[in-house]
Order: sequence, then structure tokens, then C-alpha cells
Amino acid sequence: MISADHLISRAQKGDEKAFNQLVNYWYKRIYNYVLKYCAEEDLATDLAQKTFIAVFKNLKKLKNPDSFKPWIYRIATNFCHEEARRQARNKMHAIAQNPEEEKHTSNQAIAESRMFNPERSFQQTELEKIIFKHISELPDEQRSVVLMKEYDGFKFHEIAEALSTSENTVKTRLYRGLKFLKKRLEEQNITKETIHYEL
Amino acid sequence: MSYKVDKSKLMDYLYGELSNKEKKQIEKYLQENETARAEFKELKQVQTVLRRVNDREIEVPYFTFPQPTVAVRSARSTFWWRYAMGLTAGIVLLLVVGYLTSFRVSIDNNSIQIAFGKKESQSDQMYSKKEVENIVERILVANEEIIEERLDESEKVILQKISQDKFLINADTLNEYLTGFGNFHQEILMEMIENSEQHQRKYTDQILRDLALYLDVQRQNDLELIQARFENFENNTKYNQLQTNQILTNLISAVAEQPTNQYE
Repeated sequence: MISADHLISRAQKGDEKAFNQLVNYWYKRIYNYVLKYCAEEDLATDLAQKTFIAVFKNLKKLKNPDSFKPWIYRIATNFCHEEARRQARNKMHAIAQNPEEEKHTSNQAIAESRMFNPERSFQQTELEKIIFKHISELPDEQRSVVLMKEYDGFKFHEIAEALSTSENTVKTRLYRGLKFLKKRLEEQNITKETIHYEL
Repeated sequence: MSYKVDKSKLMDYLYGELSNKEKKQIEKYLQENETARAEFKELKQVQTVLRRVNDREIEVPYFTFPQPTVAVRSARSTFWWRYAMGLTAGIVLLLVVGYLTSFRVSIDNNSIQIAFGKKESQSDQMYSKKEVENIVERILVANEEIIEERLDESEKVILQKISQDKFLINADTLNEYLTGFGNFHQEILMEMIENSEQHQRKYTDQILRDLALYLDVQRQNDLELIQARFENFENNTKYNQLQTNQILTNLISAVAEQPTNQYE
């Protein structure tokens, strides 16, 4: 099996096949990270593709292949921040998707992705929408930390490297982010018990 | 010794990034501290809820990129070709302009001359430094001679004029002049005084005549006023006399018509 470092070094030399193997490995993770960040599927696709184009252009600048994970997430996070600023300028809501369209795409994705149970899928979709909404309400820096830690299994030092900050700052942001989400979820009576009861 | 758990430690414990020793310390602390235990429970609940979100399954795209080296080489060769063509065109243009304007550059001993137009034949004679100095010196000498001659002539003329008697003024002449000047002024002064007296006299006469005329008119008016009042008084007197006569006549008439003996 080809190691990740070897793939990266081949991709750095312009090997398109090796680069696409990297894409194959990282694309889903980056897409889901961006999707949770912006809560919009089309935008997540755009940002994920932008991220990999930027990766291809700048891959030669990456000195240490071990830092590839924080590096690619840093690129994705920068695109997410840029998009968030653009949306804030245009006074658009983070979830700006047409509800009908959103419903269609979400259902399609769910139907394709797991054994289809209409009632359970609906509840799962609604819960995800609520969680995405509250995550999108987090300040940018807290949002990145919560997503990297909670969904992408980053260690604290990796998040600190990706965001060019200290570990303590990362932990403080995560603590505040979780507190904020707790408050929001409680307002809608979403707790561990209620979701186990419903799902 | 008390063990304090801060946010940072709590996060480490929540996500399992602590050593066994620290983990046990925190667990002991949470057992003893109810508030901290409740807070940890809340955060754990949030974690549980967040983990209900599943990753989406998506189709991974295949990326194809143009060969950058080929593109760069092509752009670079195009650039050199254009650069060479531009340079050649510029040189040709300069040559044509230089020919049309008769541009020329000449280098002498210590100088470079850049010029346009046809070169004129050098008609002016070139002098050396020594020759120029001689010419300047000759011109200066000639000028000095001319100035000296003119000064001599002027001096002679002035001396001739001074030597003539008619231009000298002696004391007698001056006295005569002053005497004549004094008499002249005395006459003018007398004449002015006489004129002034005559003028004042005429002015005084005129004032007196005007005053007399005014008094005469005033007296005439007063007389006419007195006359008018006398006439008025006379008329009144005549009117009173007529009235008195009429009253008397009436009385007499009334007395005459009465009977002589009333008992008759």
C-alpha cells in the first residue's frame, strides 16, 4: 500500500494520479467539514473544490508531509472564513438555501446514503438542520475548533497548528463553543434524553 | 493539597487527551465537586447531540489540470518573440527618424556634440586665447584714448566760459538787483492795500445803502398801518354817531306823538 507521504511527494512533483488519490482520501472529510461550517450543500461543493485546487497549486510549498492534515484544513477554513465574511457583507443568512431545494437534496443524499426509513430519516434530517443552524451561529474561530475536534478527530495541537494559534486558545474556544451550543440546544429542548427517545 | 480543574483540563478530559494520572485526579475532583460534575455532564450531553450528525456520502470528483510547464514555456517563447520584434522595430524607427532629421553626433578633443539638421560650413575664424586677449586689450586702449580726448575738450570749453566777464556776478549788480526787487515788491504791496481799502469802502457803502433802504421801507409800512387804523377808527366813530342820531330821532318822534293831558 502506498503511504500518504509518498502520495504527497508524488503529487508535489505534478503526478495527477497521485493527486487524485489524495483527493479520493480527503475529499469527503473536507466536504463534510465545509458543509457543517456553511450549512449549504452547493456552497460546500464549491468550497471543497476550491480547497483542492488551492492544494494542487500550493502543494510544492508544503515542506513537511506530516503537516498535510492541518495544512489542508487551514486552506478549507480560510475559504470558509472568506465566504462567511462575504455573506456577512451581503447580509445573507448562513442557511440561504431554498427550503424546497434543500429538502430535496437532503432527502436524496439520505436515501442514497443509508437504509431508507422515512420517519427516522425525517427526524434525523430535522435534527441535523437544527445542529447545522446552531453551529452556523457560532463565531468563526469557535466554529472551526468545534468542527475539527468534534467531527474530524483532531488533537488539540493539530488544531492549534491548523489555525496558527496556541493549544490553550483552542481549548478556550472549544469550551465557549460547546457552552453556546448547550444553551441553544436547551432552548429547543434538545438533550441527550430527548433525541434518544425520538430516534 | 487541593486540585483545581480549569477549562483547559476539562476539555482535555472530555476528549480523552489526558494521562492516566491526570485522568484519575480529575475524576476524583468531579466526584467531590458537584458543580463541576454538572458542568461536565452538560458538555458531555452537547457532545452526544452533536455526534448525531452523520457525514454525507458524496461522489468524489476527478481533478485534471493543464500542464503548467508547457503553458509557461509557450508564454515565455511568445514573450521573447514579441520582445525581439519590438526591439527591431524600435531600432528601425530610430534609424529612419535619424536619417530624416540628419541626426549626427561628433566627438572633438574634449566634447561630444549632438545635433540635428545639415552641418553648416565653418566660416568663423577660430582665434586662440592669446589672440583674443590681444584684441580685447587693443579695444580697451582705443576706448581709453577716445575718453581722454573727450574729457580734454570738455575741460577746455568749461574754462573758456568761466573766463568770460558776462558770466561773473559782482556786489554792485547784486545790490541793484536786490533794491529793484525790494521796490517792486513795495509797489505791489501798496497797490494791494489800496485795492483792499477801495473794496472795503465799496462794501461798507453798499451795506449802509441797503440798511437805509430797509429802514425806509419799514417806515413806509408803519405809516400805512397807522393810516389804516386811523381810517378804521374814523369809520367806527361815524357809524356810532349815525346810530346815536337815529336813536334820538326815534325818541323825539315817540315823545311828539303822546297826548298833552292825559286826564282829558
